[in-house]
Amino acid sequence: MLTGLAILLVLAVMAVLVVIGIYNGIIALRNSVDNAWAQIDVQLKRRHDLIPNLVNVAKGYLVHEKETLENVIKARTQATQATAVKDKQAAENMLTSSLRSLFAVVEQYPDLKANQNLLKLHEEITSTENRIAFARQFYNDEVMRHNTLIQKFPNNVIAGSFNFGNKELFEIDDPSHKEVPEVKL
Amino acid sequence: MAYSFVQIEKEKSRSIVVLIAILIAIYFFTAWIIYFIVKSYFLAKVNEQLGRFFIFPSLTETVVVFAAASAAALVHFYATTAGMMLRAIQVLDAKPLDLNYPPHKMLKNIIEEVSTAMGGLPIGGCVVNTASCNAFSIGDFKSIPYIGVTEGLLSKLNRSQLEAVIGHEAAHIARGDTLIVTTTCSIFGLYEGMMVGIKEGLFRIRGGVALVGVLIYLILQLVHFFNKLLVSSISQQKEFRADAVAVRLTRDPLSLAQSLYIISKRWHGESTKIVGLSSLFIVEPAVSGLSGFSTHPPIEERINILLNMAHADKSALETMLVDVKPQIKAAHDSFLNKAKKEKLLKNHQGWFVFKENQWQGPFLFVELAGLGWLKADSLIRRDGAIEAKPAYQDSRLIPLFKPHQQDLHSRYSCPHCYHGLEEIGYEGAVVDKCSLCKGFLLTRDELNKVLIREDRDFSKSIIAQAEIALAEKKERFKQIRQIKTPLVINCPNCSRKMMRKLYSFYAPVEVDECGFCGRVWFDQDELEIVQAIYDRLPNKDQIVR
Repeated sequence: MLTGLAILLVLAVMAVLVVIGIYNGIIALRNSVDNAWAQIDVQLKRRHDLIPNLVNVAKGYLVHEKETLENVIKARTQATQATAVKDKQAAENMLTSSLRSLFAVVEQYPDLKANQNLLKLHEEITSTENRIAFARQFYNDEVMRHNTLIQKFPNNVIAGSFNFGNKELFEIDDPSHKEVPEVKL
Repeated sequence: MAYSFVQIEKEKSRSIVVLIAILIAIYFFTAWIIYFIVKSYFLAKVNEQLGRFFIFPSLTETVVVFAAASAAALVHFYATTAGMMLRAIQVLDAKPLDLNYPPHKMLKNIIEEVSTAMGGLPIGGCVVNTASCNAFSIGDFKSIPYIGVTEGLLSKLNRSQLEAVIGHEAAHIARGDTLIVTTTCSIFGLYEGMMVGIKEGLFRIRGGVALVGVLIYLILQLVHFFNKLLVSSISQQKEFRADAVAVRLTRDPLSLAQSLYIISKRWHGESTKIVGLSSLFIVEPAVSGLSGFSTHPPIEERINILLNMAHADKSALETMLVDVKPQIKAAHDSFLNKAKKEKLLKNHQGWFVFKENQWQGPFLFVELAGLGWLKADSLIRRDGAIEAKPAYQDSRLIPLFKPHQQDLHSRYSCPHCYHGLEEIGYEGAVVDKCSLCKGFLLTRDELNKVLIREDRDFSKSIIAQAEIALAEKKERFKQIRQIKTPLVINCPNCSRKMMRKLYSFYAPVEVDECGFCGRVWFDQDELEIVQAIYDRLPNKDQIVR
């Protein structure tokens, strides 16, 4: 009787340890996902900070393209205000497409294309777009690892009882959005 | 990506322990063997009485030797690894980035991009001011790791190719390879120095001391051998893994294949004096005599694996080295407009030929042979491929041009593209030039004429290349001796194999020379570079005969 109780006790302790292990594993990965999301935010902020500079440089040359410039500014404002993952995605996608149309317009202005400030900004924007793509890639990898972990048995039981849900992927609606807005200078 | 800071730090501490253990083992065995020999030698008389030749050290003596060896190994470790990053930077002659210079700014941006892809691992950047093409990474236990790129590579690669190279180096950093290799180099660098010192000392000393010297030298030689074996066996695998991680980071295997191809086709620098430091580079700097000791796997193998990942074939690489001419660009654009329409034409694998401002075809090989109007410089495109290129660049089509040689009114055909060579007047001589690849064929007599005259002014890039050639003279001679007959072309005059060599002692420019009829083939720009070098020689008149 006593040995049976002892075995039961040992099993219970082991079960608790396993639960603690799994719980901590999930928490570590959750924080890693949050950190990856913060990384995207850092890069998006970098993009938002660059846009006013870009608009300033282009403003003098693009007198007849007010609409394009306004679209970029509008998209930027929306993007800075969005907080939820879904809203952010939509706003950032809009910003990407407005940037692309801006660069398409820039192509038609040789003076602007030769502007040194614009050349520098172009490199910065190209780099920022790449950083956003890479940060997103890292975030999505982490989310995938997180979601796979909490869906596996027996982790799913523990995740369910502690209310750990799946994390959302940062998706892009059109694969061509992955491309950097290209301008040949 | 499963490389978090915690894991990297863990990896660091583990590699420190492993390296110290190896070092202690080496010290212990060396000291034990020396102690054993000395003991046997000095107690020779006692031995004779006892009827044995060797006396093994006792357990207590072994423990004492072990303690002394451990202490020596620890001192050695800390002495050699303190400030090793600074020393490595000095040996490699790396300089910090100048952020006002656009290419450097781009490099910094790319390094930060790759760092983002790895979840924010901090990495620094530096450059080496040489024309050779290579990249490396270094790291130590304290500061952040650094990735270095040569100016030559920076000028040859586009953004995505550079990104792939940086990805490869960052993979080495994340996997801890960089740290291990840098540390190993620093530690064994001491042995290398000792070996050189003892070797020189051996010529000066005589007697019993010399015997001990030889013994120590032999032991060091053994350590050196095992070090090389160790480094090469580990790092061959490392390169494949780093390539794989780079692809995972940048999702762009083709760019990595292209950059490896470009690096392999260019001069990638001399090997550094410290053994093993060459394994820091993306492509091994010097060609090693024994392939078993190479720190890197054959580059073709790496390129093939990457091409498989990208579902591309070799032709995707060959176009890389040729500047896209305006006509190719125009053809390319016109194709893109019709791309959708042609996608529907899912025909057999064939070739499209660009004629009268549009793409015609697809043609099978047999059909191409019967066309009659296909020339070596006609633009062609493989069915399903987007890139257009001149027909002579497709090795499968070259047999089609060979029969046409007789039709051409030229004496010779180009050894590279089989196009008929044009006779032109050049600096007072009549020489044969390929209008496609811009190569020259000259006899020794014609060459003398060309070299003696000084009618031409050379462009800045030619003069720059001439300067680079002179600056790298020593290294080039060293490398040419080790070359394993890379491109063997046939002499256009007598069809014998031409030898790849440096033009002369004064002008270290790679050319192909026919040992039989003495004709020399210069690839694009090479003749002008040789001329530019000769024009600056003070004693030119004595040399050119």
